[in-house]
Amino acid sequence: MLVPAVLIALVALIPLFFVAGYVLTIGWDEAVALTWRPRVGELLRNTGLLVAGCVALTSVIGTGMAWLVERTTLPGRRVWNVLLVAPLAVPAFVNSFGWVSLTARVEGYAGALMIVTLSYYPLVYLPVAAMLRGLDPALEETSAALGYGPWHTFIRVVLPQLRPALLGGTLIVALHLLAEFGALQMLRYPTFTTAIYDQYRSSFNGPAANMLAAVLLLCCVMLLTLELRLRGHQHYARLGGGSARHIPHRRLGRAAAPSLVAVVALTTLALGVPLGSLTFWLVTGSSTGFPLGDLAATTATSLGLGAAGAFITMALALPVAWLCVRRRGRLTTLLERSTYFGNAVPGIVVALALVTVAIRFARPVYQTVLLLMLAYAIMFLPRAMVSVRAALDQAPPVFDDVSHTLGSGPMETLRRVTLPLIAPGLGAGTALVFLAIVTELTATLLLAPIGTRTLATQFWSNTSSIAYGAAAPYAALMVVLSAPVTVLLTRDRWRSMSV
Amino acid sequence: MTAVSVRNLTKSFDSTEVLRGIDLTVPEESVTAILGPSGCGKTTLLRLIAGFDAADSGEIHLRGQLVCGEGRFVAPQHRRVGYVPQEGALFPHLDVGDNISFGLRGRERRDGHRVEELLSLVGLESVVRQRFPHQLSGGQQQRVALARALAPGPSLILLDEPFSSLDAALREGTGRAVLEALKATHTTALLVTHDQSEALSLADQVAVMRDGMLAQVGTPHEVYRAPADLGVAEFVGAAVVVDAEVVDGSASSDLGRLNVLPGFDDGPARLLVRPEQIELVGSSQAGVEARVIDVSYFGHDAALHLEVLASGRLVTARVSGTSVPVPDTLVRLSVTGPVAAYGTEV
Repeated sequence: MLVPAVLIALVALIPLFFVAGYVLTIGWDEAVALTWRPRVGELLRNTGLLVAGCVALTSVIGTGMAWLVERTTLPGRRVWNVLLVAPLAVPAFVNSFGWVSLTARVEGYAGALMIVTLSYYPLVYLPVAAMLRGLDPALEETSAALGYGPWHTFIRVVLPQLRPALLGGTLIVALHLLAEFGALQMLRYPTFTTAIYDQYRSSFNGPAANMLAAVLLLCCVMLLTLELRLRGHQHYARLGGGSARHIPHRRLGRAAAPSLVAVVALTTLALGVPLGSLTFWLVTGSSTGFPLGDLAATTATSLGLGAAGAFITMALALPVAWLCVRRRGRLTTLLERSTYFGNAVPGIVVALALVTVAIRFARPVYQTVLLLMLAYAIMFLPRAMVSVRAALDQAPPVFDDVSHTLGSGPMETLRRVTLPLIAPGLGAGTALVFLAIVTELTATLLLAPIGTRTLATQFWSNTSSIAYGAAAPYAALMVVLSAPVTVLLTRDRWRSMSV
Repeated sequence: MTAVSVRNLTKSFDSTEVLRGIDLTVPEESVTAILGPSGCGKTTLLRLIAGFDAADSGEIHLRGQLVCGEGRFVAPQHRRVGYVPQEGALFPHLDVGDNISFGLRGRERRDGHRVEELLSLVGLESVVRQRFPHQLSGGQQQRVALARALAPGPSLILLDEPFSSLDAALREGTGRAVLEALKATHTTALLVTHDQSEALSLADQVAVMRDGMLAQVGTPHEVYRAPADLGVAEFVGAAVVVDAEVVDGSASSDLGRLNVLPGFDDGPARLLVRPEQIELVGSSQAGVEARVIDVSYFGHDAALHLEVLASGRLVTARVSGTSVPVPDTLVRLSVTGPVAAYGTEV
């Protein structure tokens, strides 16, 4: 198990090797010269403003909505819970398309900030809601008994408990933003990722693109470290073995109507507008055609790539996760951390790294599906790892022991005990990776072999030529394919996999 | 015949010696408890007997068959040993019936007759058969785990702290039910526990384990009344230790003149007095005078903390709950029954 695990960890680190290797070969002076340009400063400012604004907005919206749904008597909480997560089923570039195809006024900072916030607030909402549900009500009761009112209790008791969930959620938002390409490109809001793409398209593998990728990767790694620092070693857990009691819901009273208006407004903007716009273009768009044969072929390609990529990614995650769960040690921890690195690497950097490495060292792989699969594996290995680890935790070694004493050998134990226990988790993980691949745009655009047309690339080429009606069917298919994830994510046990 | 025979067993993890030469014989159709504090190696011993791990040296025989040692190692699935782990570890994907029949083969597994039999054996109603583990209480889970282990008819069952996760109220009843099922099926059992009262009340033989070695193996009565040393004495139950001089099987101490169990030569000694051996006597001349400092009242009995007036020594007495003196009362104490004596060098 160890040898394949080491190889897998090394593959996951290819983007890092690429960037580090590049900076080393051009030398320090050249690297500084390429970095210290007004253009880089402008991109840094753009990216920073967007990340800061979006993190602040998603924190407030995500926490507020989670509190309303989990802790108050807001009417229709179950429905809102699903609808508030549902924007995750609409890829950010489809959301962006929905808005920009209706009005060009969303272009620029304000519009971009609004659209990415609407797309990404569920990433904060989900962990915060889960945390609020798991909090021991005794903590708040104790605070009340010590004489603090609801507001003080929220600030002094609840909010500190929510910190890990908030940090985790906003980190993911920030990483998504650094990696976001489609949505921002459509809104003409240049960030590192869109600039790298433009550079790559105009000068192909030029030094400028590579250096921008290095700066972008540095930003991502800094974010990850920052989050680790802030989170520290604090543990938030319930002490004692008593079961947590049902949490009482707070009566909203006069705040009920404004709260309801807020939830309705948010879901309308985040879900209603993109879906409505999509429907509008499907029904009335002058360029809408339903080239059924074309749609079917593209869907088949997307499904095929998604399935193959998901299986490969899960297969790569299995040995590493198994080592982590069953053979805990310093080396296995290191291997596990390496596979999580993909979380911090934007698709554009993965694609750039693989193109360069393939051209330099493995020419025959360039422009093949294999390279695309590798990119998917590096990007989505973290998701697969979370699922596989959770699945393996369902089958602790004590079940093997019991099965052995009941006369079953290793193979029989695998068939009768281990596989039935881990299969649901593996299935859910495969589904999550599959859907992530189907809606992946950036790496697919750069790495798909010429002639390979997926839903995402077809959608993109149509929107790029402002053929909104023609793009709509592809977007609609992606949303339909993604919808099941939403349902999956509103169930508690899969929440931790939403990364 | 002996069900289990362990000879000079050792086992180390990394550089830590966990078992340092264990010798143990478990007679057939008996219950042996391995009693020790956490980390003493008792679970490791159980895992070696089950075959989950191999010993570094020494031998394990099951029903006279060598299963570990002399280069031989029999895998757990071929040892025919039942195993009830902590908290039961019922297979969560199988219902109670399928859990119990897991180790059965062929027709026996299919016709389900045996499942009914085992359910009633462990004192469960047949309605639980279709339930899943998470729908059962802790005590029910333990009973199902035992039924599952008994199903293939093993001659030895290993129980790893099976009752430690249960509430005190459930523990006693579950323990009794387990014992009855074991007796009814003539199954030998090896029970690992850190709970003294559990070991003393359930086992025919108690092996007290300390730092990877067995400090004493004996009947519950022997282990409690005549512990091998004061360390075992204090681990097995509450102890009052008094210094005394032994002459001709009799000792004079702060608590008066006491009879000493045979086997101790004359000389200075430390005596083990169990709190329930200290009795309050009527206002006569007998016994020694003491003052009640405080009282822990439990209902059925009470623990008195007393100061012996003559020497100032503090002792604990366990008396019946029917008549309990209040603090600051003066009482007279005497010790009933013989006491164990130990050398003064530690």
